[in-house]
Amino acid sequence: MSNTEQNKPERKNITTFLKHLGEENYAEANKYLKKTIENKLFNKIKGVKDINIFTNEQ
Amino acid sequence: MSNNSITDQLKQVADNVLTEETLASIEQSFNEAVDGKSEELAQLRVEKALVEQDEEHAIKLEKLLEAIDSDHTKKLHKVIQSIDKNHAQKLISIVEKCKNEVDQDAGVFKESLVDNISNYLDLYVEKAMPIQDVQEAVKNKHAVRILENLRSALSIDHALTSEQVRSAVIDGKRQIDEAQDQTAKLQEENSILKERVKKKNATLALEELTTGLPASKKRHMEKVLAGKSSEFIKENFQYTLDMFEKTEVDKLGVLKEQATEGRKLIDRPVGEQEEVVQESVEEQIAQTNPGGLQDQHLFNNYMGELTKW
Repeated sequence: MSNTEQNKPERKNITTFLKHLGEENYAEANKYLKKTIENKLFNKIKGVKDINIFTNEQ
Repeated sequence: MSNNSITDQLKQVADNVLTEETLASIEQSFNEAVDGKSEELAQLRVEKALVEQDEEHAIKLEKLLEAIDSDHTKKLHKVIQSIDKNHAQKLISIVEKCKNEVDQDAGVFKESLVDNISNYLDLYVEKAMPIQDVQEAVKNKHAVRILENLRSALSIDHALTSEQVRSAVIDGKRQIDEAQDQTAKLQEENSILKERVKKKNATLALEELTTGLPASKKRHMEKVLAGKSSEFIKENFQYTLDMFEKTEVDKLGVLKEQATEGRKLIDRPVGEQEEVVQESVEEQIAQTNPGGLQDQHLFNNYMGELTKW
């Protein structure tokens, strides 16, 4: 799966955030910004989640 | 102009009254007056004709102008319509092009803006929460979860953490393993013993049923029912025996017929003996040991018939 497809919901959230920002609907914009950051954090944690603690690899 | 001039007429009317000079002056003045009047009249007629012609021409010109105007108006309308149409099409295509360009540019701008915001948020998150911290937290959480799972899988709680309890648990595990091995061995032995008992029962049942039978019948029954279970032997013994007896009766009948026919045809010396050809396993068995387990009567019968040949 490509990076663009992987970040599709994230891009959608950013687009919606920009839309609400343009409409001066800051509450909704804040909501979608939060979602975007949560998504980014989730991806970051997911990237380092598959580990084996019984090996010495760092 | 009439031939009778004013001078001649005056001469006729008043020949002796007027002199030649008077008549000439009268004629001159008369002619001048007539010429002036005629000129005036002619002038009037010309003016009238000119006015009429002007009016007529003016009307015609007006009509012509109206026709030309209407024609030009129509032509101009057509020209305007075609120009409008052409310009409208051009404007539509220009609008579409501009719209496409704007949309494309807006799309590119939107994509780049989204990318920039995404990159900025990535950097912000990276700065606020470094990857090493996340890795460490994940490892800790992962390790805690694995330990919990191990504890639940191995049933280790605080009571089992001491050395004595652990050794007792290990000893119990060893005992359970030994007991399982012993059970498997016993089950194997049990199955072997069951098999042996079954075979013994079958042999015993066959022995019981064949007790008192002639040797040939007994041997045949043992041969047919060998390796069968005791239930099978009990069920099928009588049937097998009947079949054997029927076969024997048939064979005896055939032999008797052959013997009676042979006695009539051939008379051979009794002492002459030929080697017996053994054709089947059953006959071989029946003829090899007539003294022991086999039927003596049947053997003597066979041999008696054969010695005649």
